[in-house]
Amino acid sequence: MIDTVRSRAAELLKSGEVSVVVGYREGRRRELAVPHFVRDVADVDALVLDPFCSGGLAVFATREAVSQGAAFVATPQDIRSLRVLVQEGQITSENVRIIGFACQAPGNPAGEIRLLEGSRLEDFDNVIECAADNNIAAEVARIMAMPPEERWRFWRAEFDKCVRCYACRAACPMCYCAECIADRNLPQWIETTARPRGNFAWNLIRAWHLAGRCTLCGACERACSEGIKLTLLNAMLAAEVRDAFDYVAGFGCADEAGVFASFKDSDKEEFLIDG
Amino acid sequence: MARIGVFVCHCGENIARTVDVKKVVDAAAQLPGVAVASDYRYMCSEPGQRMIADTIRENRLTGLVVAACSPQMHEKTFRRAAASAGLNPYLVEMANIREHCSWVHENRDEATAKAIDIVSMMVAKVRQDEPLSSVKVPVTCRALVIGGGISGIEAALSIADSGVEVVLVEKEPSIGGHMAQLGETFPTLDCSQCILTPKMVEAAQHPNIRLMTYAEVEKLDGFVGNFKATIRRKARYVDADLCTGCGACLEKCPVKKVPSAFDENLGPRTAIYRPFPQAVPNKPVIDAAACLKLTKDACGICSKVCPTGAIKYDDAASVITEDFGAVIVATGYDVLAAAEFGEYGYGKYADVVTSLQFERMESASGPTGGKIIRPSDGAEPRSIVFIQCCGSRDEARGRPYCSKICCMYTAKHAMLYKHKVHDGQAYVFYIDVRAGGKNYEEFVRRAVEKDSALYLRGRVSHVYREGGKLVVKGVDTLAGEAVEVKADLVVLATAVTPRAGAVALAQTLGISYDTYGFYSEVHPKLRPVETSKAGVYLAGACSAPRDIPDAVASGAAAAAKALSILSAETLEREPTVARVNDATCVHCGNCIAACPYDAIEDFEVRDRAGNLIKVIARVNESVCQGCGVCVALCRSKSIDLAGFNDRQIYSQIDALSAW
Repeated sequence: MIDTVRSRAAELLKSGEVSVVVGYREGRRRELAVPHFVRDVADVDALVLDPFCSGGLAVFATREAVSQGAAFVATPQDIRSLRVLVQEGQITSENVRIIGFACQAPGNPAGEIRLLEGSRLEDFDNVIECAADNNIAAEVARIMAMPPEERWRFWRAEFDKCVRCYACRAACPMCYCAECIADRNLPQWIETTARPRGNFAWNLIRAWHLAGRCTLCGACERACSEGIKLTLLNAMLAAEVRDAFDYVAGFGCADEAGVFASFKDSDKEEFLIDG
Repeated sequence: MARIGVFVCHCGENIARTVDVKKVVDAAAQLPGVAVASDYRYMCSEPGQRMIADTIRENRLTGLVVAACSPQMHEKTFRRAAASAGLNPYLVEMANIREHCSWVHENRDEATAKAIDIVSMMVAKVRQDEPLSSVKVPVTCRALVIGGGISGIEAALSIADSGVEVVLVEKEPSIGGHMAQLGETFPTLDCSQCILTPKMVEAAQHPNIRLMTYAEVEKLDGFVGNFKATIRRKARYVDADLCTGCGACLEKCPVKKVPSAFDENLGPRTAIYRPFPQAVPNKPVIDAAACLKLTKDACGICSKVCPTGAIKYDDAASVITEDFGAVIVATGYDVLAAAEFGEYGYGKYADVVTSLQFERMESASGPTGGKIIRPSDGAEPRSIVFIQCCGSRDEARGRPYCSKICCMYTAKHAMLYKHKVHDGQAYVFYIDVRAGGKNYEEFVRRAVEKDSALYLRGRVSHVYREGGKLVVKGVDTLAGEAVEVKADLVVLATAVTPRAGAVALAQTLGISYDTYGFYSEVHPKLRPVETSKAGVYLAGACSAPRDIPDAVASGAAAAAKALSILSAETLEREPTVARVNDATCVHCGNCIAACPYDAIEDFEVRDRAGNLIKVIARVNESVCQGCGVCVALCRSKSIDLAGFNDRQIYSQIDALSAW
């Protein structure tokens, strides 16, 4: 399988379709695969593909990086992230190629990997469910079943751990703002000290800013040194967006506006009296 | 350093009754940055305004808080007063201690404390205010009138007469609207066409009016003073420039049995047709669905008989865009499909007709040549039952409103029937007779007293056929008994409804509409022809059922309003508009998609050599309405709203909440 990945990468580079292939190489430990940027065909042999390739490479899909063409060794969530980035005008889909794979048990050495058919973003219109989504759905249901006080305690305990290192932001493909609201100080929207008020503000505002955009790639949670359940938080808002607007991030068409920037006649208007 | 003046108004007793004004003044005087605080009984009065202006000058004030009523009410007044004293008007803030405080509270102490809070917030805000200057926008001096009925014609003529160019778009092949269908008009009984056609001709010949019939507005972009309309001209299949209106084609067309919509399906028309003989322009169009040449590639007779070669079977629809400064919507009304009234036998019995069908019968140019007949056998009806409020004032059918015109035209119908059939008897079932209008009540009394129409107060339960007659079963609520009337003809006064497609057009134009689909005025009493969209005005029955005098009056009123925009070279607009921070915008496109006014567009940032640095969002100041949707959506807070910027809002919140 890795041969296929390497030969695809070499092909894309040789043909000039892309100037860089963003994939994985072996880390220092067996359970680690780290991002690898292949710009030279000779370098493709360093690419690896195993259950430790955890996804999240879409974070490298910046306007600048993709402008000369870039290919991504991408999980289904990464593919969805790339689609959101296209939708938000950060990258253009002609410049993106995909070497897609799905792992049925990420992180488990025995996890089975299969390659996904397709090369361009448009080829992946139907990459919908993945195992991770279902696991998180069960967790969302468990939290939502808690009484509000208990849920409050749960999140309070989670956010108390936050040290405000902003690693989540750095790892997130959707956090591409030139200046984050957390860094604004006129006015200061979010208290910068790592204490409950600021921590709540930061984590909730980040979750809000990802509502309808987060594809649950999990990069933030993996990056978090304190193990805050960020994917769960994002999944809860994703569930709200899906219920309210029948919308799942990464499945929209490229020319469709984001869910909060658009209005459909079918939108529920439960906030209106008699809506 | 800030030198702020706080002026607290008593509003007579309106504020002072509930709020201790002196206490508010004392508290305001203690606020940081406040140089002067005082109160006055009527701040908006001439002496009140003079006091403000004098204080600004004497104390060299840098900001002003007027604690009084809603900014809707008097913000402009005080801004003007400040400007007269040399202070930038946007350094004036209103603290609304009337609508938001004194009017809604009873406890004096609590209301006073709240008033102090409101004043503190506005003082905090005014300290962050920056001087702004109004945005000037050029105006395209042309008007678009949508709908060529009587109100649209009136609006177009009024505008054109004052020297401004007008494009009058009508979706039918001829202008004239419903009024062209009518026989005679209440309360004077003058013939509808006789008074209408001169106006139609005047509109067609007016040097400042361009008629665009058989066309529809598809899209409206832009904003007041600078609209861009996309208009679709349907295929006529007849070259209007070559056609002389001789009518040879109409005579020879072999397809003669297409139901005429103009005659309310009571009579036939040909496949190549003009809606009525006095049509303007008097040039036919081909009904592509009925024409043998266009459907089966047979026939082609019209082309052969046309002396000028005007027939063009290969004609196609075309789309044009034109610029306008103002738009008048005069799309009129429909009448409720009588099919809804199964109990009255409409559709089942040929002799149950709608009042618009009756109008066509009564019209000298109608399908019966002005003779009132029973459609089933052509006989003259000896008795007619008119049923009013068919669908109107009917909560059960979702139309609780009154259609306004039915009482009058029913009286007219009863009267005209009597004039034509002297020994005939008209019965009218009614709920109330509403005859509020000049000479209207007298007109109805004439129908009753001189022309012996029998008015029965009550509803009809059902109509059925027995022998050769229609039996109308109803109740006379005044006599308190059930009644049964045998009639030859039953006429249903069906409700006036919004045009089919009215809602879609409203969405195209960006104007609001009510539950039924009638277009909404911005204020039902004081701004009756303006819509919520600046530069778009309403005329005629598209906003509510209207009779001819009302429709004409509203057409002229809409024209006057449109002219107030078109008569200026530039428009001044509020400077409270959104601005994008070029340095931090990442062009995610959210604001562009969300802006309800299409005021935000891509902007290419280039260096001096012309190399593209990046693309960002840019607000068109002349389009922006300052609604703030973009500000709320922008994740990196790269958009701010002048006059309501984040620092101002934050300072207000800070003033209220001691963290």
